[in-house]
Amino acid sequence: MFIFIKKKQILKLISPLHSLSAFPFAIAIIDLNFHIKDYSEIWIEEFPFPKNGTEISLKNLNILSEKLIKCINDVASNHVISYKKIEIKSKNNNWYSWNIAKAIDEEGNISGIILSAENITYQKREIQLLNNAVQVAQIGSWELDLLSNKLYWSSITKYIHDLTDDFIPSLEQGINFYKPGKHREKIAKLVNNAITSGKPWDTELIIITAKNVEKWVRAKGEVEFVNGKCIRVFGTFQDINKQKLKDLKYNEVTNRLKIATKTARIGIWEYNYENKHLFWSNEMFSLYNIDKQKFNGHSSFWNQSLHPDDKEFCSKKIEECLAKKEDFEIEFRIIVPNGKIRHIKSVACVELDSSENNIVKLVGANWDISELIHSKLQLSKTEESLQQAFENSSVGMALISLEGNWINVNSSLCNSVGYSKEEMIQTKITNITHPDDLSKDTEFLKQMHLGEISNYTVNKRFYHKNGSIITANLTVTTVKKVSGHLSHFIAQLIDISPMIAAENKTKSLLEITKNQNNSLLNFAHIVSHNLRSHATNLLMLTNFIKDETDPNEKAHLEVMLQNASESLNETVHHLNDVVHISTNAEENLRSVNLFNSVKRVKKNISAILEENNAKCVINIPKNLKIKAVPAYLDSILLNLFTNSVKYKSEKRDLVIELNFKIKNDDVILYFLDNGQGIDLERHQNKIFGMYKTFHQHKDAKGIGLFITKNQIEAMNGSITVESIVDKETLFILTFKKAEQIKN
Amino acid sequence: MISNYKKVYFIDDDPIFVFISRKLILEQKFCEDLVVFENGKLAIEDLLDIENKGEQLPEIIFLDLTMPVMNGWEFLASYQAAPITSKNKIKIIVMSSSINPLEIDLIKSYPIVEDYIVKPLTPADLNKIINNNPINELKD
Repeated sequence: MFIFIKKKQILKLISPLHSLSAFPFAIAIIDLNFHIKDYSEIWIEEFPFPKNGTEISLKNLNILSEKLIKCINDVASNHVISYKKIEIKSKNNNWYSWNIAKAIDEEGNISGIILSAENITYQKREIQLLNNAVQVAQIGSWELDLLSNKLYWSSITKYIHDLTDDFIPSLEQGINFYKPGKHREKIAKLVNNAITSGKPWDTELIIITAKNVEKWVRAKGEVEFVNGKCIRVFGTFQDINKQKLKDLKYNEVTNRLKIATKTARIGIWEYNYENKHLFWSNEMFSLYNIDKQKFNGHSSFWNQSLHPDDKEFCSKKIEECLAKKEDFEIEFRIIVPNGKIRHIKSVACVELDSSENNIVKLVGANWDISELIHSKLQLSKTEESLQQAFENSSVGMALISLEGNWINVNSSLCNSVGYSKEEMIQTKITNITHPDDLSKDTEFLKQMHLGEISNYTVNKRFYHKNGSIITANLTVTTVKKVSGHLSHFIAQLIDISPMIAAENKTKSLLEITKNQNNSLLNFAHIVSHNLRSHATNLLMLTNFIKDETDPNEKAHLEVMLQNASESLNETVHHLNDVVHISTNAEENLRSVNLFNSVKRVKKNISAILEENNAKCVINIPKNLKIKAVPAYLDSILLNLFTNSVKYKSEKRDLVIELNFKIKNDDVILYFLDNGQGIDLERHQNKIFGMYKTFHQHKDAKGIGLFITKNQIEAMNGSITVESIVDKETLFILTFKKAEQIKN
Repeated sequence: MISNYKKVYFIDDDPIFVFISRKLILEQKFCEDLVVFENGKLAIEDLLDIENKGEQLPEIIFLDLTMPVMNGWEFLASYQAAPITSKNKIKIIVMSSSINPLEIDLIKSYPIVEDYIVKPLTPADLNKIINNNPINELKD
């Protein structure tokens, strides 16, 4: 506009053909051949003429470009266009704004072209820079002229809307690009507000572009008022989508992290090495139970709550790590204001500068591990007590793998089986199980693997290291992995051998007691019977004597009475002997040489043996010793010898043969004769019995074997008999062997 | 007084008891003929001998339980097995000093045993036998 006004003046000035030299800007007139006819001083400053040559042509100046020539020709040849303005970059990189107009002579013919040039290089650069900035920042501009109701959008603005440069927006269109709903409502409200109250805005909203893409934009706007009336609204328009989405994403992550740290009660802290400033997140304060107001940002703040016992090792550890520029993890205790102790775990990262030589800051996270520590303590206590229980249990305990290997055994179990722990672990449970009991729990194990049962109890026999058999009550329990599969077994072995032995002992004691009780009862009946026999006789005799008148008969009865009394006396003596045998034997047992005893008895009755022409064969070693009461042994041998003589066969000479055998702790004596023999089918039951024995038979028949049996049983031995009638009788006597004393 | 029974056997090895019992039985005129055996073996042999000869069998047998060689129990077993035709006319009375109830029950369980007498033998015992076994019924 400015140039335009000037041009009119120029034309007026030119027409009287005044010189152009005084014009305050670069101006020249050329003819149609581009020869410069006239020029201003400034022109010559701007475009100095070359020194050589008289004819000064525009073509000699390096400012003439194709573009300028074209324009000049356009203006010169065109009847309609008399003026043109163009900005051209010259060869010397300067920008010029050219005004090109026709010079018309008085006849109205084109006499030449008027050119004026303004150096706009500086402005051009400014604009260029601005444009560049705009391009880079994607900032578009817009303007709404409220007088003409015209909306102007810069090309960047259009670009942001995904529109081409030739798009001309209308006012509604402008608004409608905003996303329907709160975004569109908001911009409408802001614009209205601005128009009415003059308030500028700066907001971030979503538009939907021509390509139907959602995009975050920053819209700024302000208004221009003239005489209290808004005439113009203008502003910038910036694509902030990438940034916004990044921000949103960042906010989202930050929020998430915030929530996470808050709910997880993880305190975050940061210590800036350069400005010595300490930062604590809110969670740190609740972790340390300290009022946020009291926070002073000093590096010493963190360790004022530290447990006194932990201070030294904490600072040592931190110093070590910092010296090595290493990240670190540390656990320590703090004392919170109410006096309670909290266990804190702290993980810290060292952030180095670009040279990696200096620490810029420390960033760390702290959290409360008190519960964990307590659980750990509890667990280790439980483990310890379980271990103690396992190790010190009087019950044999073991952990056994699914394959039957010992994993661990306690000392009680080791003691029971005689192996050391190390020896045990080398072997398997099946190796020490009695073969007959191996499959005793197969069915249970199967059920365990199927999960049908979790424990069972069986009695099994095991081998002690020394080869003896242990009977144990075995209880097996399963241990499962977290997955629910079987992990291993816990076995408990209670050695019940002593119990079984005790039970057996009790049983045998009971048996003995029962037998003794029976024999006592029997004995009582025998005593009763025998005493009554005499009593009856005495009673009857005295009755007769009382009534008898015949003196001869009376004398006879008195003899009878005398005999009966003697018999009674004898019976009482016998009974006394039997009682004595039963009560006094045990303590009188001693080691007795069997051979010597046999020899002595044989010598005592040698007269009878010789008289009966008897022969004795004694196959007994001279040093064989038995546990016996010497008097009983003599009595037994005497009885056997005299029996053999008494019941010898009339058909042959008597032969007595003594043999022996040693079986375990027993000495067995075989006493054989070739006499009448005994019909055992008839006499088996009474041969050792106490029959009508305490009478005045001259040999006291019957008492002998009864007493023999009692005597031998009193010495923990036994006696049995085998016989073939009219051929032989064999008494088999068992004695306890005396401990062999060498030499 | 007329003797009640013709022939009575007495099996016992105790001479004093036998002497007194014989005296009592004769005084009571319990029988005409009393035969004593020292043990069961002698008695069973005699019974078999009489049976073979077809002579008079005893009407009553007093039997002691405790004797050598063959005791009362064995005698009962032998007697049961012995080929004697008219056993139903022979009444066996067991005598013993034993008051062991087991023994008494056992002996009473023998059908051939008429009664059990705990020694000593008394006139009342003899009367009871006579009352229970009238002489006429035993005769044929």
